[in-house]
Amino acid sequence: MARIELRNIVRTFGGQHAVQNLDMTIEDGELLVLLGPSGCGKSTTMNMIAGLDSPTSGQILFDGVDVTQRSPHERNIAMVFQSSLLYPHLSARDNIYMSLKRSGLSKQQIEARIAHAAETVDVTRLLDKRPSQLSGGERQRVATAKAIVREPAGFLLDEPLSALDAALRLSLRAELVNLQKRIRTTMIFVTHDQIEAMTMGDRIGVMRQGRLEQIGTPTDIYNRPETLFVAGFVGTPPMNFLKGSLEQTDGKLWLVNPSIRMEIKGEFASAKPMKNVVLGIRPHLMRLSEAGSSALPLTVYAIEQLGNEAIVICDGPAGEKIRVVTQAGFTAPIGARLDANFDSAAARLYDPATERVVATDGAN
Amino acid sequence: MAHPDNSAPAPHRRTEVSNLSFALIISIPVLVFLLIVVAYPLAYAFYLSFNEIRFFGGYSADWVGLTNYANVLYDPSFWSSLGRTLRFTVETVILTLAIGLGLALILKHLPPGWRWLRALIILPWAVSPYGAGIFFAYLGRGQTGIGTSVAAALGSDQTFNLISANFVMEYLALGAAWNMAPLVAFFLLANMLTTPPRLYDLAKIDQMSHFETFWHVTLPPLRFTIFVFSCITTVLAMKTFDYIFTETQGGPGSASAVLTYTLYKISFVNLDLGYGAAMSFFLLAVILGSTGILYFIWGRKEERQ
Repeated sequence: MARIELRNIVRTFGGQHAVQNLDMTIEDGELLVLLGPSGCGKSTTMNMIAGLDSPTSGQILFDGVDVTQRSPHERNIAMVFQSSLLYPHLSARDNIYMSLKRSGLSKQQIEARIAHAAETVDVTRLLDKRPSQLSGGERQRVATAKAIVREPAGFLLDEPLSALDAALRLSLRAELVNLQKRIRTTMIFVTHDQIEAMTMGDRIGVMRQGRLEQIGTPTDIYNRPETLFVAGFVGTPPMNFLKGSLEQTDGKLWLVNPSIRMEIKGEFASAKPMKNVVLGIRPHLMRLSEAGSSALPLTVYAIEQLGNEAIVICDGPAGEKIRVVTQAGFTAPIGARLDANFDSAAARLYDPATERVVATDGAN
Repeated sequence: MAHPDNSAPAPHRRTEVSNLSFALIISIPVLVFLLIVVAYPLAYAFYLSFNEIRFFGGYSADWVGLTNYANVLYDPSFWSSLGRTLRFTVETVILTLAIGLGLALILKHLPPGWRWLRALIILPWAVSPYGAGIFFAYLGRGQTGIGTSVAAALGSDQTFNLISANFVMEYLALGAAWNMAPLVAFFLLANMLTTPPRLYDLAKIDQMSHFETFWHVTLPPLRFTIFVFSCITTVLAMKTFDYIFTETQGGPGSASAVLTYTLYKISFVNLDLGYGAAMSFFLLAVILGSTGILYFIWGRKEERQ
């Protein structure tokens, strides 16, 4: 278990920046999820933390000690790879044993450790099977046993669940979080699946194009996304965006576009007027009403019934798709005119030029 | 599995050819062809092996029973030829697989700009054994060969004949391996590329040595291919004739007279067809026996993996 610090990490491949000026601290015993689309640098970041790759510049510290030049084994890192890679010709037991072969422990200690790790993830009865004889979920558990048997300073998982079917993914997700809390190890989990990130992480680091866009608790990331990318990437259905400008009249701030004029309340009321702005509002925070009121005019495009709620997908006034979550069983003919209302205090404002949240006099 | 509704009549089937009949129908031409080109000569050779065939004073075939077979066992040139065949085979198999594996490892790690070499490396295999024999005969000769030119480059004025009685078999095996190894390399390379690259990262995290990484990551997917090529190369080496015929003609003296070459001399130079046929069945038995042994002590183990 260790506190892992990344200081101004840069990694370039042939002039291309894979990771740019990354600063991040993962607290001892924390589960940090690195989230981002493929090619965003999250796997490169993980490889550098593991010691499989070296940063072009910058430092990696474990518990304050610079380990940038150390091998994976010296860092005492354990890793579970995509599709839970194991040595295919070795039994589960021998696969786990390979983690301890260079540990210098005695034979009895190794055996005790293997037995304990196997028991922790409930694979004792699978120890004599080969990976090809195991199901996807069992392989995942054996790979986890192989990782925890080392009692690692850091436990790295690179999309270990992405090759599994949805039901299995759901149960293994909970299992991994439960395990991480039980053995209280520092864990870094890489994924491109935002639901996985939201459900597992103590904190989430969202990456894009080699940069860390935002790092924070799932609630923070969901409710207060700092950038347009995070706002659009996290959350299902995704956040709705309305373009317009900010105008100040009568000491009040208004979002104005050809179809609406709406007073901005809440934390963004103190923002400065600007020509181009993007307002973001979660689909759950909008309400539908009959056409004719003064709110956002929409045309029904499709309705998705989810059982406990319904998602109404609409064409907005500027041709954008607007999603509204409403009560289950909601029906409306395709092409029907509807209006949507929302509380502007619950919305977020972004500057399309910088793609960052608009500055206010308050905390931001 | 029980279907809730099994009262529904089974859909009417048109008369279809069963899989077995279909297989027979499409393979009959091949079976007939094999019967003509393999079974007939084999049966005829079997008939010959029980006769003494004479061409002088008119063709005659006299039934001699098992005499030819018994004579083979008392023939010292049979035993020495068999010894050379086994020596050539073992050396060829080891060299072919070692060179093939080495080539595959080199080809795998080629930098991106050099990948075209992967296609080029197959060329030696495209040379017929007949051509390879002529090629290696020139290369090995004392006057024109590589041994002498290497010695000259090192400042010596001696000639080195690689086709000499003491190590002609090794030289032959090297040439046979040169001919065959590229194909082995090609197949091994294809196998190697199926290993997920992340498995090497796992080996790094487990701090495996280079040898352990080779043993636990690189080698396992290759083992079955290596077994198959051991069998193929064994059979090919045992029945090699044209390559040795063009390279050394069994010489110097009879230092490279392997069983196939001795058979050729008995049957087609001395025209002792009955005796030659009997000896050829010993070669057949050796080939079947050795591949059988390879399968029982090695192949079955690989199959179970």
